[in-house]
Amino acid sequence: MEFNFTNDRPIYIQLVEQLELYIISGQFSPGEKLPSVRDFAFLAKVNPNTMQKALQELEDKKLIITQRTNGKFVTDDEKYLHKCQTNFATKKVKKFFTEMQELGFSRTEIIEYLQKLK
Amino acid sequence: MQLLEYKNVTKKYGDKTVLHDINLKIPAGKIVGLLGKNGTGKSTLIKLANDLITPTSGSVLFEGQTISVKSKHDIAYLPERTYLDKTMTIDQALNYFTEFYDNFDRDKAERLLADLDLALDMHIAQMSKGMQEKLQLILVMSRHAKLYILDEPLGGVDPATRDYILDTILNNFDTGASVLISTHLIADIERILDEVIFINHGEIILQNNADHLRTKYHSSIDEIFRNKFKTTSHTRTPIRPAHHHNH
Amino acid sequence: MLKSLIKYDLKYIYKQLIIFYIIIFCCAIIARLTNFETTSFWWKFLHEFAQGAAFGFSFGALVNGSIRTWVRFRQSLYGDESYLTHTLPVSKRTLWASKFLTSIIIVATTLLSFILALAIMFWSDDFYRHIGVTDIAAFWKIAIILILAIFLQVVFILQVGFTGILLGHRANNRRHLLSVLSGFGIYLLGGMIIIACTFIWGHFNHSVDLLLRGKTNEYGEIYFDKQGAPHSDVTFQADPSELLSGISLFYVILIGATYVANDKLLKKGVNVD
Repeated sequence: MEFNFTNDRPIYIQLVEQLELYIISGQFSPGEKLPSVRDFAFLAKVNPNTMQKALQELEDKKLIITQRTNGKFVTDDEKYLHKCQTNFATKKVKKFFTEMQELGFSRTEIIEYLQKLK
Repeated sequence: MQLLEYKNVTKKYGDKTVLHDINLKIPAGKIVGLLGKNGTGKSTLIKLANDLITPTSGSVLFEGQTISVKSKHDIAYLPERTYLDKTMTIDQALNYFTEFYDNFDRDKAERLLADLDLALDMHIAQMSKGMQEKLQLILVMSRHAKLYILDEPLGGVDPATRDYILDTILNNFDTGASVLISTHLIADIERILDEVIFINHGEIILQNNADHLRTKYHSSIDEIFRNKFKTTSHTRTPIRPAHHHNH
Repeated sequence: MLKSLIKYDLKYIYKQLIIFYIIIFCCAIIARLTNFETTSFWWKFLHEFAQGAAFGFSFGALVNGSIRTWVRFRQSLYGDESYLTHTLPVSKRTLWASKFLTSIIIVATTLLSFILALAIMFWSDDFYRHIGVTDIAAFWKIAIILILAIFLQVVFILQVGFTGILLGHRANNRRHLLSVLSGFGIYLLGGMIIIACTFIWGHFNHSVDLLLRGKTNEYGEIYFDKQGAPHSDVTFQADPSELLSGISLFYVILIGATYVANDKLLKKGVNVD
C-alpha cells in the first residue's frame, strides 16, 4: 500500500483522498478491519493525529465505521461503495473530457479516439 | 494544562539578548516543530526546558510547575552533541539509563539496537558519529516520557538514516506524549508535524497548526518559512496561486 | 540515586588512581624486602629508590586524585556530559552530596594507601623502640590526630576547588581562569580564618598560646615563671595534640561552611555552553 504526499497541501486532505481511493477501488475490502490509528499512521508514515483526523473525515463520508470496542472497519454497504465509485468515475471522465476539449478535440472525436485505442 | 510553557522568558548573556520575552505553550499529544535558522535561539529555548541554563527573567513550567526532579523524569532529551561517556560500551550505557530512569524500557532499547546491528559490547568511542547519534536516539525514545525534546535530530545524516529517525520518532512516542523537534531542515520533517513554531532573532514569529498554514498559504511549511525570512541571498519563491482540485 | 552517582564518579577517578595505588604497594613491598644489612650498592640503591618512590607516588596519588576529582566535577556539571547530568531525575542537593562524598572517599583511600605503605615498609616487633617512643598511647594519640588533620586539610582543599569551579563558571567567559583564581583565593581566605581562630583560641587557652609562641623543647615541655620567662624549676607539659584537635575542629567547621555554600551555589543553577 503506497502513500505519496506533497508538503504544499494539508497532509490530512491528501491522506483522505488516497484512502478514499483505496476503499472505493476495493483495495480495502468492504467490511475489512482497519489497522489501529497508530499502526495505520506508521504504515502511511504520518503523524497519528493526522491519521486520526483523516479517518474521522472518512467516517463523516460514511466510508468507515467505528465499532466502539472492535475498532474501525470499512463500510460493508456495497451499494453505497458502488455509488461512490460511480461518482468518482463520472468526475474523472468529466475532467478527462474537459481536458481533451482544451486540447482541441470535440466530443465525437474523443469517443472515436477512445474506440481506436482499444 | 499545557505540557510545557514559557512565560515572559528572556535570556541574556551579558549585553547580548538571545531570547526576548518568549511566551510559548506546547500542548500534550502533539508533534511540534520548532523551526528557525541556526543561531536564532532554538537551542537556548530547549536548554531552558532542560535545566541546562537559567532564564534571565520569566519562568519555564512543565505541567504547571517549575522545572524540577519530576519534570526531568518525564522529559526525554536528545541534544545535538554526544553526551554519553565515550569510554562506555553500549551495554554500560543501557545500565546507566536503567539505573537512573525507572521509565527506561531496556528491552525496547535492545530490540531497536538489534534492528541496527549494534552489538552491546561495542565501545562508544569506536562508533562512527552516525552510529552514536542513533544510539542516543534509541536511548531517548526508549524512555516512556511525557515530552520528548529532540534538538536537530536530522543534522548531517544520509536519507536512509533520516527515514529511520523519522520512523523511530513516529513509532515510539507514547500516546498522549508530545515531541518537540527543533530543526532548520524543515522540508525533511514537516510532514509529521502537528504544529509549527517559527522563531527568529530570539522571538516567536508564529505558532500554528501545520495543515492550517498549508491551507492558508497554499504552500509547504518550508516555503512559508523561507518567504517569511527571506534574505537577499535566496531567490524569491513565489507563493503559488490556489489550485482547485476536482475530485 | 546517590549511590549510583558516586559509583560513576569513583569509576572515572579510580581508573588512573588505582595505578598509583598499585605502584605504591609494589614499591613499599620492594622497600621492605630490600631492607637488610648489606654492602652491595645495588641492593642499598634499590631499597632507597623503592622507599623514595613509595613516598613520591603517594604524594603523586594525592595530586592525581585531587585533580581528577576536580576535572570530573567540572566535566559532569559544565562539559558535554553535563547534558546528561543535569537531565537526570536527581535533585541538585543530591548531586552536590554525591560530589562531596566522592571527594571524601578519594582522600580517605589515598591516605589509607599511604599509611598502608608506611606500615609495610616500617612495621616490626620493635617498631616503637626503633623510632624512640616510650609512651605508646601518646604516640598513637598524636599520630591519629595528625592523620585526621591532614585528611581534613586535603578535603578542605578539594571543597575549595569545587567552590572555585562553581563561582568561576557563573561568568560567561574566562571560566577556567576565574575558577582557579577564586578557588585559590578562598583557600587563602580559609587559611587566614583558621590562623585567626587559632590565635583567638590561644588567647583563652594557655597551653595553646605557649605552643603558638613556640617556647617548647623537643618533648613539648615548656619552662616558664610567673612573668612567662623561661625558668628551670617548673615545667609545663604542652600537648600538641590539643592544638591539632582544635585546628581540626576549625577545619570541620570550614568544610561544613563550604558544603552549605556549594550546595546553595549549585541550586542557583548552571549555565552550560
